[in-house]
Amino acid sequence: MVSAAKDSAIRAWTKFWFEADYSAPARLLQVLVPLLLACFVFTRTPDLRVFYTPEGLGALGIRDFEELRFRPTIFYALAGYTWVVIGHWVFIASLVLMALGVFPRVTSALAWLLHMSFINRNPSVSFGVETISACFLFYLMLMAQPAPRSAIGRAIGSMGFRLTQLQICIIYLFAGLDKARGMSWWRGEALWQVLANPQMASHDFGFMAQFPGILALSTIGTLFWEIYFPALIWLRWARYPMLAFGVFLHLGIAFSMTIPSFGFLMIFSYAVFLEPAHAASILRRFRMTPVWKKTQVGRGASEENFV
Amino acid sequence: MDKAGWVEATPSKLPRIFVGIASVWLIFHLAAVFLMPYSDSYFTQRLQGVVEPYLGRLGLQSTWRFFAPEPMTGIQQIETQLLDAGGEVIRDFPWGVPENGWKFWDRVSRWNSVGFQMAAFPNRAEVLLKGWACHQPERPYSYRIWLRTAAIPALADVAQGKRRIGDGVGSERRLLIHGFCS
Repeated sequence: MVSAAKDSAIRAWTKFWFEADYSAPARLLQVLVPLLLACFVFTRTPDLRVFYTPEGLGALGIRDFEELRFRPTIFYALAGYTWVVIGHWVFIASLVLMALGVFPRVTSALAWLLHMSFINRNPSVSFGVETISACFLFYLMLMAQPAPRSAIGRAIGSMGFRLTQLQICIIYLFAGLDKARGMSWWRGEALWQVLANPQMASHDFGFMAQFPGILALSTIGTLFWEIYFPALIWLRWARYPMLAFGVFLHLGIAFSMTIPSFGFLMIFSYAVFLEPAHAASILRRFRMTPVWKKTQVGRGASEENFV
Repeated sequence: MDKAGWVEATPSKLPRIFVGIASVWLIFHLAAVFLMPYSDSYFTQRLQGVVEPYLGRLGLQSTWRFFAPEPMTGIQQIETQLLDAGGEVIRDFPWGVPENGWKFWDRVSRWNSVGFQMAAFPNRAEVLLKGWACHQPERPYSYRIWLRTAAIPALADVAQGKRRIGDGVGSERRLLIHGFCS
C-alpha cells in the first residue's frame, strides 16, 4: 500500500517535471520573448554612454551598492564605451538569432549573460521588464533544446518549461498578496493613482474620473485575479478565461502606461500555458519553425500538461 | 525517436542519478524562489547566506512587488542644476529623456527609473549623477539635485473639475544633494 503510493508519487513527480509536452509552447516563447526584448533593448541605443559608462550614470562606485554583492557583470572589466556598444549589438543579435532558432543553446546563453551584465552594471536604469525577462531568459536556456536526441536533454527542457510556468505563478501570487496589504486596492482607487500620475501614464486619463465604477471594478478585479491566478491556471476549465483576463489587463497596461514592453512580455509569456496543440497550430500558422531546419515542432502535441 | 528527433523521456530512459540530482536542484531552486520575496521571514533569514548569492547570480532575486502594497501615491520629479565656480546656475532642468531624443515609452520609463532611484536613495544620487553632471558640455564646478514632490489629485476633485492631472498644485521642492566636480 505504502509502496504503491510512493511509486505513484514518484511517477507523478517524474511526469510533471521531466515529461511535459513542451516543444510547441517553448518554441512560441522562444520566438516572442527574444523579439520583444530585441526591440526593448534597441531603445537603449541612444543612452548607452549615459547609462553604462563612468562618464555617465555608470560610476564604478555602483558596484559597492549592497544588493549588487552577488550580481556579476562583464562591464566592469570591459568598462569602456566601445565595449558597451559591442555588448549592446551582440546582445540584440543574440536575441534575434535565438528567435530564429539559430544555435539556440549558444545564443540563449549569450543573451542571458549579456542581459545580466547590463542589469548588474547599472540596476537603477532597470525596471520590471528587465527583472522578469531575466527569469525567462534563464529558463529559455534550459528549454533551448530544439530537437534533443537524448532523454536527458528532453527532460532538462521540460524542467525549464515547468519552472517558467511556476515562475509566472509566483510573480502573480506575490504581486497579488502584497497588493492585498494596500488600502487603495481595496478601496478601488489604485488604478486611478497610476493613471493620474503623469510619470506613469502615457496619456492624460483625466476623463476616467467620470467612470469611478469602472476604475474600482478594474482595480479589485486585478487584485483577485493576481491572487487566484496561481491556482486557477492549472484547471482546464479556468485556464483560458484566466489568460483572457490577463491579456486584457496587460493590454491595458501596455496602452495606458509608459511600460508597453512589460504588458506585451507578460502576454507573450502565456505561451507556456497554451495547450500544446494550440501552440503548435499558432506555430504552423505563422511559420515559426527554426530557420535552419523545418522540424515539425509540436507534431502530435497533446493536451496532457494540465489537469 | 520520431522524424523530428524527439524522444520520449520515459522514466526507464532517464538515468536514476539524473532524476535524483535534478529533483534535489528543483526543490532547492523552487524553495529559494519562493522564499526570496519574504525577506523578513524566519526561513529566509536563516537561509539568506545561501539563497541570496544563488538567486543573485541567476538574476532571480526580485521580490515581485509591482505597484504594491500601494502604487506610487505621489509624483516625484528630480530637478538638476549645474553651477559655475561663482555659484551661478548655468543650467536648470527636470530629470528625464533629453528634449531632442527619441521618445519611446520604454526609454521614458528608464530615465524615470533613475529619477525614482535618486528620490528613494538620496545617498546614491551623488554616486549616480556625479559622473554625468560633471561631464556635461558646460563643465560645471558643482551641481545640485532637487526633489519636487506633488500629491496625485483625488478622483473626486478631478471629476468635479477642481483639479487637473499634473497641475502641480501643492508641489514642494527640497534639496537632496549639492555635489562638487573637482
